[in-house]
Amino acid sequence: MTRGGGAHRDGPGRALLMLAAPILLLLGVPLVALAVASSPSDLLAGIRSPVFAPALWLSVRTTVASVAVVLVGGTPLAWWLASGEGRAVRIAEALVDLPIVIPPAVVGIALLETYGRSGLFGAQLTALGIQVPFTTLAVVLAQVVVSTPFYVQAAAAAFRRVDRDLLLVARTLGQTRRGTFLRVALPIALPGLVGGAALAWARALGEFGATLLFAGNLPGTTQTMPLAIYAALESDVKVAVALSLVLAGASVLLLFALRMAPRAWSAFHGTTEEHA
Amino acid sequence: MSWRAAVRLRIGSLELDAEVQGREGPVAVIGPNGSGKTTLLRTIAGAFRPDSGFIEIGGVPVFDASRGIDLPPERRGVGYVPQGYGLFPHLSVIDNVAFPLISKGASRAVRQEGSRRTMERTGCAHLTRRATHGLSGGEQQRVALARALAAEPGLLLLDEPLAALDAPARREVRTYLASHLARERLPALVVSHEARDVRALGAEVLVLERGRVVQSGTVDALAASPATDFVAAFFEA
Repeated sequence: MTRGGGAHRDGPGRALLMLAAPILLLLGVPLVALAVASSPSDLLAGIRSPVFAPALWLSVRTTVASVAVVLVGGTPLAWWLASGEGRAVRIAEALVDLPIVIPPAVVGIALLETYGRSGLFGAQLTALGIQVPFTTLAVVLAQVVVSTPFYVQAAAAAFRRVDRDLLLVARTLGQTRRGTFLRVALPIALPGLVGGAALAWARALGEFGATLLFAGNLPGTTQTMPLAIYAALESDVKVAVALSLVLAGASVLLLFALRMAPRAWSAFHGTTEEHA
Repeated sequence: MSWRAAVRLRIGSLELDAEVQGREGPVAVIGPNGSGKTTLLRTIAGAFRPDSGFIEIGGVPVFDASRGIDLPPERRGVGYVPQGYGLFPHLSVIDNVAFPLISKGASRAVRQEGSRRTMERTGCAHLTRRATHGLSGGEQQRVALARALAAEPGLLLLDEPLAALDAPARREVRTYLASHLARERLPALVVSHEARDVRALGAEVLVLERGRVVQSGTVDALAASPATDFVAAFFEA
């Protein structure tokens, strides 16, 4: 039961550690290289460059919008996937997984073929005077498509861990379907939902390929942080590194929060694995 | 107060076809693993829709296939306590017991007062300030029962209320259950797998095997002339 205690006799041997080390280094070393690449003055110069602030602001706005869309649309979808069964659910599950395996560039082309001038809804959108590609809306759409799977998968897994008996008990105690979802399923699954939302946010923040093809790289309108890094690399490497550091910092903070949140949560609520 | 149910349904490999009824006081359901005991309870609670049959609680039809009646669980007036007690881990003890009063739209003050009274009545007033995760099995069972009673059900459905307890707790909760079920004069359907528990409850017994009722009657009648090997073995010890 005790974790992190003394060394277990059947714990990992030295040979296993040697085999595991290279991949760990492969993951860790570039981050260290990035951290030591620029002096504080370089970093400051990068932050003061005219590209930085608009890109950061656009990234914040678009990712907040896309995560909001993912939460509002993804939560009922996850609940349906977790509580339903049959063919329709299995098809929907596969559909949700698709954006993870499809290359982002392909997602970008697919979005163009849907909302572009000559795309599926092109004629209708043009008639209404609405242009989607190469606008901020396109950035949000691309982020929603690529980040939804991360949230929905995590949320559905969290909902599946909610004991079915608790739901029936809540019903017999007078709650409707809706009340049971809001008062029992949602609060119990909440740590999992928060984790999924954070993952989706990180994916949206890092989104590059689909955005570049579907929304372009227009400063102030569609140039998010990753696209600004791409653009800066052609003119000033220092700015690119500074942007990268800020983005990496945000992501590491997020990862840290993700790791700590469930522990903080259970310390606060006193729930333990016994109830999971 | 009386209740009766005659239901037929198929779930997975189980074909449940059972008729049960009772008045004030407990009816015990016994039977081998997989005989459909839990499914019977969950069906009466409204988790599954039977293919045919009817369920009547306190004179009110809550399900009737021929008349197209199928009330949702929240309108059946049943108190369901599953195996593992089903306490809400995200709520405190008092909020668990107050839960049925939330559904009735009672104010916070009324809920606190009502649940406090229920907990006093069921002998768990001392647990009011506790968190659910720190409770022993016996304490969880008491709180679960208090919560079910707070909803003022017409029929209690208890699934193996003593199964997960160690011997001393089991003795204590057995006595507790028997006295409270007798005092509340509530109809109850109790799944059990121990003759001693069934005797202590003074319950009528219903034997379920492979989804069908194979025998029913008093403990003494069943012990005297068991209809199947299972019944004979059950009352042997």
